[in-house]
Amino acid sequence: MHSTNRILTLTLLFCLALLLPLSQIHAQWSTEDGSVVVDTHILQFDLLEDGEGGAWIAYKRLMPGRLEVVRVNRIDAEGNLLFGPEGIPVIPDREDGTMPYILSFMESLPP
Amino acid sequence: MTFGTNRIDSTWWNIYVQRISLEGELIYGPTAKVVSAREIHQLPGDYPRNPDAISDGAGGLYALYHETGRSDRWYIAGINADGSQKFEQDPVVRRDNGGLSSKPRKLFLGPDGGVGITYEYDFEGERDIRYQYFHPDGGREYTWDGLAVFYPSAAYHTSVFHLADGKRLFVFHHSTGFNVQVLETDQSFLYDFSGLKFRGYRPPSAPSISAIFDQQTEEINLVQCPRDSIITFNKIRLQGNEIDTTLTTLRFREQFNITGRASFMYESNEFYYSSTKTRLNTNNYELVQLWNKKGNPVWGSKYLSLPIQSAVIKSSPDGQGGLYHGIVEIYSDLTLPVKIFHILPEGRVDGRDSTSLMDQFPPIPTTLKITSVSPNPTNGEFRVSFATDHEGTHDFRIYNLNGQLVQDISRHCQAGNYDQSLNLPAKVSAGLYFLRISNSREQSKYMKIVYLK
Repeated sequence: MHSTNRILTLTLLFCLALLLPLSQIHAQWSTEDGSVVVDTHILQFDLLEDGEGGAWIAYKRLMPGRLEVVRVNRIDAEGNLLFGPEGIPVIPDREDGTMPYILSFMESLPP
Repeated sequence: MTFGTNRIDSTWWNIYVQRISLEGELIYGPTAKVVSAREIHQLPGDYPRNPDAISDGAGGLYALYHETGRSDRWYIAGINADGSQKFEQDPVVRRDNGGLSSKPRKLFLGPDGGVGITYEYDFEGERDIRYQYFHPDGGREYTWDGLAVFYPSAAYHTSVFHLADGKRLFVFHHSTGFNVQVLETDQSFLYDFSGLKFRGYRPPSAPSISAIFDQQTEEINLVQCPRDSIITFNKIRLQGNEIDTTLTTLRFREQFNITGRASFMYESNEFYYSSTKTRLNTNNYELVQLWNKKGNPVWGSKYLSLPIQSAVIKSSPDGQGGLYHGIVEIYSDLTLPVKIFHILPEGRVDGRDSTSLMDQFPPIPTTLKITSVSPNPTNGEFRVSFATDHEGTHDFRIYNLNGQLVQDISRHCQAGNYDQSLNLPAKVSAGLYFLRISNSREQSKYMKIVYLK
């Protein structure tokens, strides 16, 4: 009976794990030095408390073709990147030589 | 959050604003909002100097920007939470008659939802600090000249706090300490001249600083991180025509050799966090320490050590007593990944092996001291181990029994522990010699050296 319950529990946990996004399965703090690597080739970045025990990060990165883009991501307390490894664009990416720059990054109360 | 974009082909740029929900929804849509009412003509790569933006407390923001080639012509743009612009025409801080220098300035949210600004006024070498306030409709409270609130010199930092009774409290931080001034509701100043002076710690140059006013206790909390990594915390209170400085005065000094300034200071309810760059045995470290409010390092002589080959350091509290600490690491292949550490309140890096969390660093010496000379007796070459609490030139001189100088070298040292190789010249005879180490603070120590041939 115990064995049956255990199999059922494991099956249920497995199904739940399949439903979770990939980024939430792997705790990012488990890297060798206890850090989470957000991106490569960062030109500018800023950090901000998210009020939920995690942090916002805004960063500017260099893409192929010297395209500079701004991305925002959230990291939860477990070190997961909540918006995926690439983050989300917050202003339009433009390939016309526009160089974005983060002027400020701050908490904004909901309307 | 606000973003500027600089278009290099036609040399114009705009300020964009975006709001993001916790779920990642772009509230202003994928195109964001342009906050400034004008296209700001800029030289390529010439970003606005010392930009500042503040939340309006209701989901919108105010942002400061200046016109191309006119670092004395600054505007304030405003955007509401729904993306609409606050002003039909962005108010300009001053008219076109100069006087507004390019030194740092700050925006402050007012009690009616308007925005205040302090700036350095510089006219033909005469400098003071001016204050201007713009009401939500864009109307200015003072004349085009603003209100002179601190003179006759400039301040590194100015903080403005709106008190519950309508008064405004100014805290100026300058080269010799702090001055506090109160602007009454009838626009008169509570104190004469430039306000009450509080000396505090005298910084060698503009330090990082925070001034926080506690509305309930009416206490002003001042935290400084001067360049030499001394961290000070002062709690003061206005008491009639005096400043009560008896509340709290703490002075933290890192216990290791400092090679960079304390780059970050975060205050939680119970603790202060500091972060300092240092070099030990040719390796660079960034060391994080947690200080309690009695001024003691919570982790003792152990420090959280983080990779130091970094260009940028940003930190944010996690709201749980710990903090997030972000650095951009510089790799040898010139990739620049940003690494974020989660530092828990107990000083542990989340996800890091608990046995290698903290490194112990030797305490900084408190005096000049010769620790050992080896070998002694020597046949010419020997090594002297010494400690110094002073940064500067250190002279190593060897004298014979007649007081004649037979060897003389110098090196620059920071406070710390060192080994120095020395040798007695072959032309001098065997016998007893004296090694003298001295520094520019006129401290000196002697040690006998026996020279055997």
